[in-house]
Amino acid sequence: MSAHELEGAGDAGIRTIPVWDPLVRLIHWSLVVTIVLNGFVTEDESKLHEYVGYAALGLVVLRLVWGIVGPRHARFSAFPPNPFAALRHIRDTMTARNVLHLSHNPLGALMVYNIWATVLVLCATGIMMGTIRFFGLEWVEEAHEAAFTWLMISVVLHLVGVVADSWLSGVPLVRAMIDGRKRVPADREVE
Amino acid sequence: MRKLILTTAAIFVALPAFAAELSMGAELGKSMDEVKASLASLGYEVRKGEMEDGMIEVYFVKDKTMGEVYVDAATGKIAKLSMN
Repeated sequence: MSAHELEGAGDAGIRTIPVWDPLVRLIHWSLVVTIVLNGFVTEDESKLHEYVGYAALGLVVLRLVWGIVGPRHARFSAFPPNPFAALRHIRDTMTARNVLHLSHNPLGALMVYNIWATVLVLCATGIMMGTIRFFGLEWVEEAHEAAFTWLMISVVLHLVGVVADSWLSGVPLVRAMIDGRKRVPADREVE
Repeated sequence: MRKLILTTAAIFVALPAFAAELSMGAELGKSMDEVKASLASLGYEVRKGEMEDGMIEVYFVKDKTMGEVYVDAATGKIAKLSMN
């Protein structure tokens, strides 16, 4: 069922479920800002680039801690990395009998871990460049650039996933990451 | 003795007289290889080198110092130097 079919039903046909706590949302959008700044605004070798990089590192580390101590939907246990579940999710989506996941769906979960890992690689290689041992070494710089390229590919796939999932599930995901609430069609099975 | 003097003289003639220390305007050479050799002879460990806007850019380290030097390929002299 798509969101369009529900419009006529009004709010009565939709359950609004709080999913993303304020910290998850703040971290998400702040990380977006750091990625845009360091990818397209700051000078590569500037102090500002370093500070923004440290901010990104802090955000990911904070999110990882939150994945252990945070509320239910923010926890790793709500979206364990599971490639088989991700494949199952793709299959279920194709056959239109997918269960709605309140936290990240299994495919989205893989992307989330991938993006965090990629940002951590960017931070690690970036910090290495500033040490005597790794300063001016070509392979460190190439690893940093490769990680950034992979991050950009990941962001595009992430956006495609968000649009596709919003369309297929009828739950506007971008809005949920803004106000924290998922608007779920009343007849949907929720996990 | 004479041979030694000649050999010494030959070495001095053969080696281009580049800068004895790193400072703005000092001459390091007009090619990547020359600049790298000059830095090495000054005791710096040469890291990455690349051409940027007609400048020879070389990264180097020495003890606890990291630095980056830009040499104007036309004059062979240091146009920009940053060390920390």
